[in-house]
Amino acid sequence: MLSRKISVISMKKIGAIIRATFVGGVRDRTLFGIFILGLLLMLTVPIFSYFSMRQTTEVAAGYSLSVISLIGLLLTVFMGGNLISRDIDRKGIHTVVTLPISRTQYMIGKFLALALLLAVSLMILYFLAGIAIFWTALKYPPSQPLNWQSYLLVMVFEYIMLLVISGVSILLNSFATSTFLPMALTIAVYCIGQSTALVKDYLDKAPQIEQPSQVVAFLAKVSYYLFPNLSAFDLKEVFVYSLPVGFQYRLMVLLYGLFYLTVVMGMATYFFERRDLS
Amino acid sequence: MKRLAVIFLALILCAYFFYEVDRRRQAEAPPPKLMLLPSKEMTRVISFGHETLAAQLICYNSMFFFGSLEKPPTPATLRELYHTLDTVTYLDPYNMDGYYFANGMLSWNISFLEPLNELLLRGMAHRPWDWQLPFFYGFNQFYFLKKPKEAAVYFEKAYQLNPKNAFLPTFIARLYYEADATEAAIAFLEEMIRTAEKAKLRKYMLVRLEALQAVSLIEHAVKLYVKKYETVPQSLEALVDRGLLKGIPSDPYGGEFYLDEKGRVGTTSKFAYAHKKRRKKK
Repeated sequence: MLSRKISVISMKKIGAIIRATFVGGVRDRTLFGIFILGLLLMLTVPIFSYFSMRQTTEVAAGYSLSVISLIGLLLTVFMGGNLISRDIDRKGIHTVVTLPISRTQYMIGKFLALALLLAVSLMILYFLAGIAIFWTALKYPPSQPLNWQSYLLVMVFEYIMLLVISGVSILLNSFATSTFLPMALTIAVYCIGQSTALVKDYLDKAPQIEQPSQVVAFLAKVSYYLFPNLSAFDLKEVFVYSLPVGFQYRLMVLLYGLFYLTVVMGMATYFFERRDLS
Repeated sequence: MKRLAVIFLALILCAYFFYEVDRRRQAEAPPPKLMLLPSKEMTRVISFGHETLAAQLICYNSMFFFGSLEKPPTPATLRELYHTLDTVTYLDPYNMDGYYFANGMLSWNISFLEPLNELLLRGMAHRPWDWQLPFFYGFNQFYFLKKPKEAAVYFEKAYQLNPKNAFLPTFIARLYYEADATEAAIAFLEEMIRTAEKAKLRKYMLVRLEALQAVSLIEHAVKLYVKKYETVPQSLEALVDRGLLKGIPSDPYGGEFYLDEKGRVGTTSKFAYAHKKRRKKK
C-alpha cells in the first residue's frame, strides 16, 4: 500500500517535469517550426519526384520518409542536447535540486517530455507527408498499391529509433560539460549506428575480396556490438515498394530498441546522480 | 531614410550581378560530368540509412548528365554510366528508374549487354511483380543477342505478369518456333487460349496454333524420314510420296509450307497475313 502510494507520488513528480518541459518545448515554437518544415516538405515532394521516369510515387514516398527522418534526427539532437545543458547553463538545475525530486526522476521526466515532443512532431510530419504521397499516388499510380498500414509501421520504427538516439544524447549530456560535444557525438553515433551492420557484412565477405586490416576488423566488430544497430529500424523500403513485413523479425527489432534504450537511460541516470552540479 | 537608400542600392547591384552571373554561367560552367562515386559498398555505407534517396539522387545526376550531352556517349562514358547505375540498383535494388535508364542507354552497345542483363536479373529478383524487366531482358535476348528461345522464356514471364500485352502470345509462339521448339510453342499457345478472356485475341492465337500444329506435323514426318533414309528430304512431296505425310497441310495465313536445304519447315507467309491488295485507282 505504502509502496503504491510512493510510486503514485513519484509518477506525479515525473508528470510535472514532463508537463513543464513539454510546455517549454511548445513555447519554444519547436512544433510551429516543425509544421512549417512539414509544409515546405509537402511543397518540394512534387518537384523532386517530377524528374522520375518510371516511379514518381515511389520517389515521392522515399524522399518524404528520408526528409522526415533527417528532420527527426535534427530535432532529437538539438532538443536532446539542450534538454539538460540549458537547465545547467541557466542555473535552473539548482532550483530543481532543491525540490523534493530525485535526479533520476528529473532525468526520466525530461526524457519522456522529449519523447512526447518527438511523437507529436512525427505525427504532424507523417500526416503532411502522407497527404503529399497520397496526392502523388492519385496522379501517378504506383506499380504496387500503397500499403498505409506499413506507413504507420515505418512511423513507429522511426520513432523508436529516434528514442534510442535521444537516450544516447541524454547519456552523453549526463556527464558532458559542453553543449556542442554531445550534439556532435550524437550525430556520430547516428552515422555509426546506420552503417555498422553494412560494414560488418562487408568485412565478413571481405576475405574473398581482400584481406582487411586486423585493427579495422576488430574496431568494426566492437562498433557493431557496442553502438545501436539503427539500420534495423529502417522500414522505408517496405512502404515505398509495398514489400511484405517479417513480423517476428520486426518484433525482435522493437524489443532490441526498447532494451537498448533502457540500458542507455539506466547509465545516464547513474552518471547524472553522481555528477557535481555545483 | 539613409538605410532604405542603402538597401535599395544594394538590391539594384545584386540584381545586376545576378544578371551577369546568369548570362556568363553557360560559358564559364565546366563541362557536365557524372558524379564520381566510390565503390558501391562504400557508397551504401555513407548513405547512412538513406539508400533510397541516395540512389534516386545519383540516378537523377546521370539522367541530367546524359540529357546535357551534345555528342553520342563514348564507350568510356558508358562504362562510367554502368558503374553509376550498378551503384544505383545496388543501393536500391527496387529502383525502376535505374533499370529503365540502364536499358535505354546501354542495350544498344553490344559490349554492355551482358552486364546490363545482370542488372536486369537483379531487378527481376527484387521486383517480381514488374512485367517490364523480363520484357526488356527478353527483347535484348531476341534483338541483340539473337537468342529466340531465351527471349521467349522471358517474354512469357512478361505476358504472365501483364496479360494486357495482346501481341505477346503470338510473338512468343513464333520465337519458340524460330528456336526449333515448336512443341513448346504449341503448349504455350494452348495454355494462353485456355485462359484468354478476349475473343479477338483468342482468334489470333487459334490461327497461330493451327499453323504451328501443321509445322509440328511436318517436322514429325521429317524426323521419321531422316531416321529411315539417313538423309534430309528435299521437298514436302517426298514426304507424301513415301507415305509419311497424308497430304501437305494448308497454311492458315495463306502461304505455302516448304522445306529448306537443312530440312527445316518454313512457310511463304512467314506466319503473317499477306497485305491486303491495294484498291485499284479509279
